[in-house]
Amino acid sequence: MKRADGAKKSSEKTISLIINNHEFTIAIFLVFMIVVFSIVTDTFLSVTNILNIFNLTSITFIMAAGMTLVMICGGIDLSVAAIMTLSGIISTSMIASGMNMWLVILFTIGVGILAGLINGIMTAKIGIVDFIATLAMQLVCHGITFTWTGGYPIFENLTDRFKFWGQGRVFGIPFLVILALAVFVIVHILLSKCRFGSRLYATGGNKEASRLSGINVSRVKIMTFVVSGGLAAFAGILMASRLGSGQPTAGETSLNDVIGSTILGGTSPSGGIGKVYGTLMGAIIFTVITNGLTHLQVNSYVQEIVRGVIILLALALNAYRERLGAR
Amino acid sequence: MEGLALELSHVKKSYGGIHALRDVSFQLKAGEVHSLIGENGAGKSTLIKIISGAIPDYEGEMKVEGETVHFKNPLEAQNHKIATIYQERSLIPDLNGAANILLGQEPQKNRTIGWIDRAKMKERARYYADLVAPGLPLNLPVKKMSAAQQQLIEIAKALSHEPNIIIMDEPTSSLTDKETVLLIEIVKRLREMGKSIIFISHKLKDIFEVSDRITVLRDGAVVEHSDVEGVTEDDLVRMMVGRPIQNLFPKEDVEIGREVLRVSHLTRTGKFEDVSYEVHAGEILGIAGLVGAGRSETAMSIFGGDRLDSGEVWLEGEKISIKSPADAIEKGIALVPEDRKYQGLILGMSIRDNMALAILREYSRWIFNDTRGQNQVVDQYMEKLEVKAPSKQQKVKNLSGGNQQKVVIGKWLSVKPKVLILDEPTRGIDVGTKAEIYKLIGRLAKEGVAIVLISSEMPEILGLSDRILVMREGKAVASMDRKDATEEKILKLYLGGVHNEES
Repeated sequence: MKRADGAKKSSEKTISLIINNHEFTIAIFLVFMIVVFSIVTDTFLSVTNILNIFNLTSITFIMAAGMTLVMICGGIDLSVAAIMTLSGIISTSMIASGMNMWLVILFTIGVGILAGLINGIMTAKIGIVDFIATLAMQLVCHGITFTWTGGYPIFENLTDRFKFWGQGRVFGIPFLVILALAVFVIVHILLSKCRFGSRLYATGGNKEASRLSGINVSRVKIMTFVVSGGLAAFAGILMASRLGSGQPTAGETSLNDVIGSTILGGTSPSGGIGKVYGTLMGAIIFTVITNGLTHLQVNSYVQEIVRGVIILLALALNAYRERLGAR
Repeated sequence: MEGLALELSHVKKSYGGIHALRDVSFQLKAGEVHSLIGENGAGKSTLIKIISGAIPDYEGEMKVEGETVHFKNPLEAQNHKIATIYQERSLIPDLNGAANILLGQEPQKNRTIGWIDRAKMKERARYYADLVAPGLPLNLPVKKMSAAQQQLIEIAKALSHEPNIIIMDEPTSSLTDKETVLLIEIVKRLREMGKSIIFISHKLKDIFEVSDRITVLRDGAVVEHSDVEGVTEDDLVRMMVGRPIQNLFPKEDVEIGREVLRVSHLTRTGKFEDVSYEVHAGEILGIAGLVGAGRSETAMSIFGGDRLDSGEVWLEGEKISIKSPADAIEKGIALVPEDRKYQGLILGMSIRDNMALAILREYSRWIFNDTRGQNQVVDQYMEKLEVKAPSKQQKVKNLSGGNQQKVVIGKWLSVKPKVLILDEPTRGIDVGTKAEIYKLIGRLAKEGVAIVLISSEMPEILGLSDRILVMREGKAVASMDRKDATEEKILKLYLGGVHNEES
């Protein structure tokens, strides 16, 4: 009887370690995926492919970093993929017309920030549900993209300097990866060292208590959308630069990947919890799965099923953890 | 026993270490109106929740018409013909009167597809509505009805379950005098129909109008069962008060200094009206009154958490304008709010992060947190308040109520307030921690902080305050020095039973 109790306790302890330490759990999952793909395919574990994975991860991660902030605040931003696509079109069109590259980048990011600002004001000030407000923003950006391009890609007259952002290398490392790491470091510092981070976790954890502690909760929320919009625009520039063209369909699967990475990384959709290194791991896992399954020559629709199931599992684990925490 | 609709014997219920009910026995005779009275926290709500099945885990025995029962949920109570009309409305605002009355028991033309028979529904709803008040509108969405009409719909809804026992929790609290008269008539008519009624109210006048018998609760125990005949208001107040004032609270004599906070003619429509008071350095101003009398609402508006419609706030002789809690903090006004879990804490965060929340601006370098500075402050107040936890990284949701409250108080002390407003600072915490908090309040007063103490616990108000303000129905009705205050006097003032004794 006593021994059974003891055994039960220790197994409960193991379970609680896994459940409470999400980053630990997904790190193991990631290692497991890498090992499996390395064994079952010949092509997965190579320098070229690993660089490729990092490259592919970068753009998704940059958007997911923004989404992480939004979700820690208890919100969601469904417009990121559409903002990204629109930004690709804006930047390539302007570059094609011969404008100064830095000006183009600043302007494009400005458009993303503006879209984020509108999202933020709609939700935090006017009180529209995030889901609906950002869905509308998605529609608007998508509509502008297609009105502008008529559905055709823009690929003429792109300068090499512009293409360097997405295709260049510094000391053999893709510039894209360096940029993603820079975003990672900045967002990590923002969350862990800055006043804004403290206010953000508090607001996501309990809006009313935060408000009564002197935090301007609307401003915090607006800021998350502004960062998310700005990063989405930046990602759009990088995507266009990498593809060497402005593609009106560039963001088709991005939204799922971004939300999936963020949730898989342990950010709670109900707010207050989340780490950007979790999101980074989430984004890597997503790319590894896609890439590995491609090496296994699995049909891309089947890949979608796998990704969907993984998101559901991550959410279920999240919900389970929150329920345990509530007791 | 014959003639008993409901009988409870030796019912006990505790939350953690706190006894909500200790050994309560209660009998409801068939066809009587039995009133239940007591101060806030005396155990009335717990008792009716047990009877109506909302609290399934309690000790003791309950019999409904001689049959022993133990309800696991409200539905079981309903099946035993017990209907409860709670203080908080349970109507669906967008549905009309008829749909609300018959919610969940709509007459159907076809059971399989659940096709509702509108004509029959209207007819049945009308039948119950007429029992309550003929002519009650039924086609209107209830959100467009007055508070009184909504109350009547609630009663009709309760009647639609054909109950034998009806529990009414503060049915008159949101009604005007005229509407109250109507409601009392209805209660009398229900009695004539043979229903047994448990009536809960803070308004002694209504209780005398309607009751056959009265049970007084105090601190979770029955003080007295009595027929209404031969009892006076004074008797009731004395029974509710009862306890000798123990000197649990060593209020030290403190030199009272200059005026720190003065508020004048504060009004927020529907919440409080023309409230004025002032607090001096080293003074503790106690604010007594019922829940909903406007005490917390006034404090919240002073602190900038809610808007003010009119009125002025003066701090140290200077008129100030506070638009948000951030303004209040900057000016040196702190509020320990009423609802610890919802307003005071971020439960999923650590003690450290919670306590540092109000000093983020003060302890920062450019956009970065001054983590070391914040930690020092947190350590200092954890020690000062004796927060019991393995470390400051402990999540507050894992702390006891008393320690959680200390974290909230610590958060507010860290801003070094000139004015500290404490709203129900000892609600739901154990006696030991209570005493510690009382000592702390005394010490803060000695350090020259001006303190506003809002409390529903009479001993707390009487033991700690230098001056006491009584609020009733959104207005400040009386103010007195401690030496003039007695529990009976205050209770009478805030229950509104006495009209010509204001000082």
